This record gives sequence, structure tokens and C-alpha cells, in this order.
Amino acid sequence: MNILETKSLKKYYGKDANLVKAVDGIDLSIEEGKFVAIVGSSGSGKTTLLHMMGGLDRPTEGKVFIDNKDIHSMNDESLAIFRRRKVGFVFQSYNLIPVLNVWENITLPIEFDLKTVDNEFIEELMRTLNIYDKKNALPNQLSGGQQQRVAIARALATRPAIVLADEPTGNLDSKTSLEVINLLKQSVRKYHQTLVMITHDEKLAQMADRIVRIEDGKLLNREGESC
Amino acid sequence: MLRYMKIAWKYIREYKKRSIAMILSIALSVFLVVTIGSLAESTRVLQVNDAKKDSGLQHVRYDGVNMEQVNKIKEYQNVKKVANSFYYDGWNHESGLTVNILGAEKNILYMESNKMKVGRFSTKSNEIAVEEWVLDRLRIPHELNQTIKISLAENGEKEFKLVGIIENNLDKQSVGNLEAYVAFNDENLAGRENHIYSFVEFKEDLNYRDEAKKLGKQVGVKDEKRIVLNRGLLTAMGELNAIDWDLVKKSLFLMVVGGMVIYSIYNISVLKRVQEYGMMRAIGSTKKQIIYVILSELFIVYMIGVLLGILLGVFFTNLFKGSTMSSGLFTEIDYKLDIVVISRFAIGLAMLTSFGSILLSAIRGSILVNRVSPVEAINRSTQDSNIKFKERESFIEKVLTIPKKVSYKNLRRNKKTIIFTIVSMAVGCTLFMVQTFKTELWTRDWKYRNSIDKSQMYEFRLNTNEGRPMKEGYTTEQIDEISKLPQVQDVSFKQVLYSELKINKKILNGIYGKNYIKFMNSENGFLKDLGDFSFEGVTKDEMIIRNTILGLSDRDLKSLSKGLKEGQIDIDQMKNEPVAVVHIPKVNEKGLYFDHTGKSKSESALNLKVGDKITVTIPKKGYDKGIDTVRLLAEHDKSQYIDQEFTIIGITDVLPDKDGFHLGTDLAPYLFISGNMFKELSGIDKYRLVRVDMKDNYTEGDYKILKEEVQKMSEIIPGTLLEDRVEYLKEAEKSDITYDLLKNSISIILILISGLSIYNNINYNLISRIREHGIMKAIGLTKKQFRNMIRFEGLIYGIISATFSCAIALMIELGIFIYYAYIFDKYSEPVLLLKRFFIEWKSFLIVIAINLSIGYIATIGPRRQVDKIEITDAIRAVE
Repeated sequence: MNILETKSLKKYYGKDANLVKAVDGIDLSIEEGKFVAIVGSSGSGKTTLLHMMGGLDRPTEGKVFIDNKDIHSMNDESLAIFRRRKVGFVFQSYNLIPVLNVWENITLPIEFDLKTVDNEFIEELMRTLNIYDKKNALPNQLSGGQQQRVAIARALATRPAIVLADEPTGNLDSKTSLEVINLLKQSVRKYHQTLVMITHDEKLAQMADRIVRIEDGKLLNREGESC
Repeated sequence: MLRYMKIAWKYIREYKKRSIAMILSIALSVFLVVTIGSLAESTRVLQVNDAKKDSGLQHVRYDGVNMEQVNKIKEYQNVKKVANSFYYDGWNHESGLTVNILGAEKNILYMESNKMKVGRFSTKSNEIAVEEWVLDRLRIPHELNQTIKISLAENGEKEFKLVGIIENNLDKQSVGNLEAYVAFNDENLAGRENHIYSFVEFKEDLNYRDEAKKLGKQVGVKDEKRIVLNRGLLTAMGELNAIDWDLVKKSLFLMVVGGMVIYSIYNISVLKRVQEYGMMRAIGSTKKQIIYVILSELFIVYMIGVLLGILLGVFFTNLFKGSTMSSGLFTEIDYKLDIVVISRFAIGLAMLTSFGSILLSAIRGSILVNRVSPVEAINRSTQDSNIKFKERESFIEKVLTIPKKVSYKNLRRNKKTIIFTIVSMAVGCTLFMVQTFKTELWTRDWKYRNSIDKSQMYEFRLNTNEGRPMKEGYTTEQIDEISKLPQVQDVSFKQVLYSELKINKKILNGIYGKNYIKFMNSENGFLKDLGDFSFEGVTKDEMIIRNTILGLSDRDLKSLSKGLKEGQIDIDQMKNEPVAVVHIPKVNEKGLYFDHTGKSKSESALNLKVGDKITVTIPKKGYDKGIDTVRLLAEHDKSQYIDQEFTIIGITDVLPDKDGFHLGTDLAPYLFISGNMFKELSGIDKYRLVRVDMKDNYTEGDYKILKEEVQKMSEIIPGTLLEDRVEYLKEAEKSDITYDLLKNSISIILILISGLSIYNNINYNLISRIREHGIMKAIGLTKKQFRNMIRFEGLIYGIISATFSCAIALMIELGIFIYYAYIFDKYSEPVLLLKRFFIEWKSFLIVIAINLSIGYIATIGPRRQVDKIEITDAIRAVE
């Protein structure tokens, strides 16, 4: 079953001579429970695609379906609620809230939802990611790898259907990168989630179930041609 | 240097919002100091003008100088103006009134802040100039060049030509002090050559105290008592003491508040630049070059901010000038604030303060930038490392939802900024509350005092002359007649008896009492012309001292009970028994009634308490025979006296009313008894004190009619002192209202500026966390939740600021109350009679409302701004 689908997804900026086609008509389907890597060079449109897939950005044209719901037909309020329940985001620069400790950062989306925190689940998640002992630490007291693991935990805390990761290892060394990807893979497998990850690192992309290549806002086929 | 200016200018242009915030904070601070400094200086101008009207323009007066000394004074280089006068003679008018004729130079009018109304000042020996109200009082028509036959006390009859009519001196008019001026020339001066009073005004910007001493020494005035400084004026000018503490206090206050306004916002801006400066160092700038860039930016921002602030300050202050404000508090009259000045001192202070504040921020930024490595700076880890790790969550954090917890934690993280923001807001609000409290405190006390004897504020006051026989006074019929006039609201009337007290020396209060008697018997005490103040009694333990008895109506007795320090008034008892309320003067250890240094403690001269008996001795037989009152009391022939014992049932610290002549001096004890007892004791049923209250909203016509009627009444008994306080009260009210307007304006501006500053700070604080807001939105914070979070943050600022302001204001108000009610002992009478603390709720509620409103309003802009930005842009934003 396809958990996520995009239909003729476009994102254009500017107009006339200054028109920039960041995403230029992408049709993409992602099966539930799969690990998909989106690979492309800098400026290829992969981040823009990811943002539209996750409802962070609205497309110029086209649709995005998550769990058969057209997410961009929702208003901002409904989209925010949908996003925090169904989508988990992992950003390249971690984007933790500096004044909240690790536990608070992880449970942040649950608190936004005004739901009771399943302490057992969160603790298990933290142990899986090896950050339980840093429960009360603030982000500025953690290493890059630890911070990214906190970000991953936050993304998984609400048990979202999809985890979207934008270059999650971009700021990490190779050893830590491998570690983080393995943990990510392990977690989504354990909790039956779908993972879509952007990366420019071929080695990391090879760890995915499927690789999708993007160039100049369009997907490339196996032969490297736009489709 | 130009290179760095160019870089700095690029930064300023690139980060417009931040630059505007910095410029705005400087401009606000400068505006605050300039406007408030100017208004404060205007207040001083007002006080100085009032002091000039009350006590003259002279800085010093030299008593008992001769012409040679006068000439030396005139030649002194630092003298701006001199006016000389001498006592010429007394004019015994047929109405029984006595006019003091002074020989004076024309400059005397300048010194009295007065001027000619018509005609000219006296220059020849047979010329005289008189104030308009004095002519009215003497029923002399306002015709120039008329010849007036004057009966002089020492020099017999003489004719004078009226050459000039002088504008009314309201002060003299309000106390019925009749004076006229003849020429200051050799002929008039004959016999008085060594008794000249020389009034001296020095040039500007000098140390007047020192100049007065110097000049005195130079002209040979050795006795310091003959060098009389104009304390009233010098105090108002802040020139009485070596250091003008008032100016120092105000300047410090303005510098602190002004400085805080800038520092709080400028500091943030400098710290946020750390990353950029780190980048510059990473690509090869030296530390010195970074400092040059920081200083260049500082210079540009400072120049723009200061210029803007000064222009705004001058413009705003000029708006005040000439503006018409209606008080709405006392009358419907509109007042012009034409005494408003632009203070150059304040402009200088503003420039200095703002420069000092941003220099401090820049120094801090420079130290930080240069201490931190380029990598750390680029990673901005220096900022986040300021967040402290805390094990335990506070109670507040436990109960807050997560968005509010984020706001709360951010507030705690930026403690210094918050403290600065809140303190700068609190200063304005606290000042406003304290100002309101003080005004209300004195208003309530004033109303309470007036309720003890309302007649103190009546427009017309008649006082039978001390020289008239004791039995003389106004009858009830005469008083009724004036009461019935349509222009009259109320008439108050009291009986007066000059008498003496027989006391045991033991009741003298130690050194206070002993020195009091000494002082009263000296030339500075009781008027020597009237005889001694005290006499020996029959035994060596007994002493007789002067005093005055007032006979009061039931109504006045009832009101008097409000002013009692001890005891209670039973009106029936007072009417039927020989009981009395006493007022004993309070003096310091030297026996003086008033110590201008305010340093000495004062106590009652006599140890009397409720229940004690006191013997009154009056020359009743002498009064019945019609013997001259002054002689009777001075000679103290026991054969003319009768004794009456009174029991003291009350003691008052306040003298509700008193006789205006020397015999009725308030330096001597006063006894208050009922009208009944007064008649029984003295056999007199007439009234020597009459106070007339004109109706409210009187017209000019009403005033003229009533003035004439009261004048006629004063002429029934020759020599009656008539005080016309109408114009004087009007001017005093105008002054009070102007003063209040200025003070309140200062408070309001402080609040406005502090409000703008807090707005600026909250605004900036929120805008600078766009990324954080973006992150939270990215992970699911809805717009509504975001709005609530931001509102909460703004309201927290408001709540903390309001709480802080109210707490500080309350403490200060309590301190003020305690000081004036229990500690301030400068005067013989208590400064604060109504010793009842209160909370001025209105001002507290206003301050709370303002703080909460500002806190809320400050979040509207940032909310809208952050709402407009796309989540993806916000996440990417570099702060």
C-alpha cells in the first residue's frame, strides 16, 4: 500500500525571466514501511520536494496524498495538527529548542497535541537511540550526534506514519553518520514506519530499500533521464 | 577609518530592523532625557519665579549700611542690580491704619517683581508712589499728581504729591502690609544714613553664597547677621548649598533610566553580531579591525539616534510650551504652560548618557568577540552556552503547557534583558504612582487641616488692631449683616484676649523651655516695643508669660477637636466650665521656633498634659477702665489683674487661627475656650477676628462688591487689618496646578518611553527567535497555539513589570508617609497632620492596566510578522 503519493507536484518561484522551477512536476509513490532515499546534487529540488511532501511548504501545483488524504487541501491549522500526528521531521541542523532539555524536546509534539505522554514508550525510544542517560541535558551540552539522535527521537515520539529526514547526517562525521542511519533504520523498522531520507551521500543512499534521483526539479529514471 | 565606516554602514543597511531598533533605543533615551530634563528645569523655573515673587529677586540683603558702602556695592564687578531702601517714617492715617513709608530707589520694584501701573516712581523729596490696593484701603482716589497730606509718626504733617501708582504686590495685599515709597535722596535720608537696606542681585552663574560673603567683607559689613541671604530664592535655584543635590539626584535618575533603555536593546544587537564578527575573524580580520568596525557602527548609529532624539525632544517640549491645559481638578480655568524651557543641560546629559550606555555595550561586545575563537563565534555556541542546566523544574514550569514553558524558559534565559526592560518600565510607573500618592497625601492633609478651621482659606480676613481697646470688636449684628450678602458663602468669627499665664517654672521643658524663655526675651523674640515676654511671679518658682486666648463658637470648637493631639472636646463642658484646649509652641534646644537646617529636634516648650491646671491672669480691671492694652500688659500692674484657673482638656499641635498682631504672636502659647467662658472671663462679647468666604464661581463684579463691603466693615474700627487674599489665592492655585501638570507630564512621558522601550524589547526578543518559532511550527505548533504562546510571553513581561512597580511604589509611599508623619521635625507644627496611610488604588490599577496592555500590544507586531514568514524560511533564517 502506498503511504505517500505526489501527483504532478510543482514548486515555482519568481516569474518570467526570474522564474525558478524548484520542483517541476513530480509523480512519486512510496510504499508503506519502506526506506526511500532521495538523492540529488545541490539545488536539485530535493529539500523543496521533502518540505512539500511533509506539508511544510505548499506546492504551486499538484497534490500530495498521505494515507489517502490530500494534505494541501487542508487549512494551516488542520495541516499543523495532521503534520504533528502523521509526519516526523528530522532536519540537517537538528533544530532543537535550546531552552528545553532532551526529554522536553522529544515530547514537544505530543505536548502540542495536548496528549498524555507515554513515558514507557519514550523511554524505550531513548534507550534505543542511546540517549536516555542525557534525559535532562540541554542541547548545548550534547554532541552533534547526540543532538541528531534527540531530533530523531522527537520525530518518532508521536509514532508518525512517515519520517522525513533532510540530510540527517549532513553535519556529522562518517562514523557517527553511519551510526545515526542505522539507528534510524532500526527505529522505523521496529515501529513499522516509512522513512524518506534526503542525502547526497551515495554510500548512505545504498542503505535504503529504494533510491530516487532528482535533478533540476524532476525525477530521473534508471537510465538517468528525466521522467 | 573610512573603510570600517563603509563596512559598518553596510551592516546597518543590511540589518535594517536591528539597526532601527538600535537607533530607536538611542533616540528614545535621548528624547526621554531631553524632554524630562526640560520639564524638570521648567519646574525649577516655576519655583524660582514663585520664590522671586514671594521673597524678591535679590540674592542677598545687607542691613544697616551707609551711602559709602552702598556706592562700593554698586561698583562691585559681579553685581547685576542693586536696590536701596530705608525706613522713612510711619504714616498714621485717619482710618487708624498705619502705612510704612520707605525711601527707596526705583529698582526696588524690580527686586519685588513688581512694576509701575501708571505714572512714575518718586524721585523728589515731596513725591510719593503707592500700590493701587493701598490707595483703595485708604480711600484715596487713583489720581496722579494729587497732593496728599500725610501725618507722619515722627515728623509731623507733610504734603506729598502722588506721582505713581504701583501694581499690587499680592503678597503684601494678602497680609494687609501697607507700604508707600518716597524718593531715595539726601533730604529724605537725613538721620537715617546708617540704616540703609541694600538689596543685591549678582550676575548669572556665580556662587551667590560666596559672593555675598565676599562683597560683605569688601564693603565692611562684619556682622554676619546683617548679611541676609535670600534663602527662599537660593533654595529654589539650588544655590543654597555647595552642591545642588536636587540637580544631582535628577541627573542621576535620568542617566540611569536613559541608560537602561539603551543598554537593554543595544546589548542584544551587539551580542547577535558575534557570529558575523567571528566570520570576519575567520577570513582574516584582526581583533583591532573588529573593534574599529564596532566603533564605526556605534558612531553612525549614535549620531543618527542622538540627532533624532534631540529633535524629537525639542519638538515635543515646544508642544508643551504655550499649550493650554485645563486642570479639571479645581477650577474650569485653563492655564498656559508658558514657563516651559528647553534645557541645554539635559541635551548634554542625554548625549553623554546614551554615549556611555552604547559604549558599555560595545565594549562588552568587543571583549566577547575577541575572547571567543572564530569557530565558536560562527557556531554561535557562545550564546547558547549561556543557558544554564537546571536539575529541578520549578513549580511554575510544572503547571505550564509546553508552549508557555518555552516562553517562560526564554524569559528566564534572558534575565538581564528582562531585568533592564522591566526596571526601565517600573521607574516610570513607580514615579507616576509615588507622584500621585504624594499629591493625594498632601491634598488629604490640606483638606483635613482646613476642616479644623475652614476660615484659613477664606478670601477676606479682618483683624482688629492690637492698639484698639480690648473691648472693641465686631458685634453679632455687624457680622450678620455681612453674612447676609449674596456674595458671601460663610463668615467665621472669633474673640481675642491678650493675656498672661502664671506657670510654675517646673513645667518648663528642660533646656527647651529655658532657652525658649531666653529667646522670647531677646531682641529676636517677643517685640521689645511691647515690653517683656516674661515676668517674675509672686514666688521664685512662679513665672508669668504672655499668651493669647481665643473664644470659639460651638462650630469652631467641634472642628478644633480634629486637630487635638491629646484629649477630647466636650462642648457642653467647655461652655459651662473653666476648661481649655492649649497650643504650646514647639522649639529646638536653642529655644528657636524654626530651624532652617531641619537638623534639630523640636519639643514643646512647656510640659503640659491633659488634666493639668493652668492659671490665666488678665488685666480685666485695666481693660474695663480702657487703659491702653500694650501699656497694661507691658507694665504688669498686678492691681489691674484677675486670675482664673483652667483645666486643660485638650492639647493641639495645630494653631487653627490666630491674631495677626505682635501681641497675639503664635510664638507664645494659645488657649482656646468657648464663647461663653470667654464672656464670663473677660466680660467681652465682641469679635476681633472675622473671616469672610466669598461664594464659589464668583464674578469680577461679586469680588468688587464684596471687597467694598468688607472695606467698609474694616473702617468701622480704625486700624483694622484687612487681608484681601483673592488674587493671591488665584496665583497660588495657578502655580500649584502648573506644578502638578509638569510633574504629571514627567511621569507620563516616563511611562510612555518606558512603554516604548519595553515594546521595543519584547518585539525584538520575539523577532530574534523566528527560527525557534519556525521549528515549533514545523513539528506541529498551530497558529492559535503560537499566538497564545506569544501573548503569554508579552503578558508575563507586563505582570512582572506591574508587580515590581507596585511593590516598589508601595514601599516608597510607605517610606514617604512614615518620614513626614513621624520623622520630619523641621517645623513647630506637624508637617503631616492626618497620620493615616492609604493606598492610592487608582494609580495602581492604571499601572497594572498599562503594563498588561503594553505587554500584550508588544506581541501583536511580532506575531503578525512571524505568521507571515513561511515555516521553511523561518527554519533557514540566520538570526
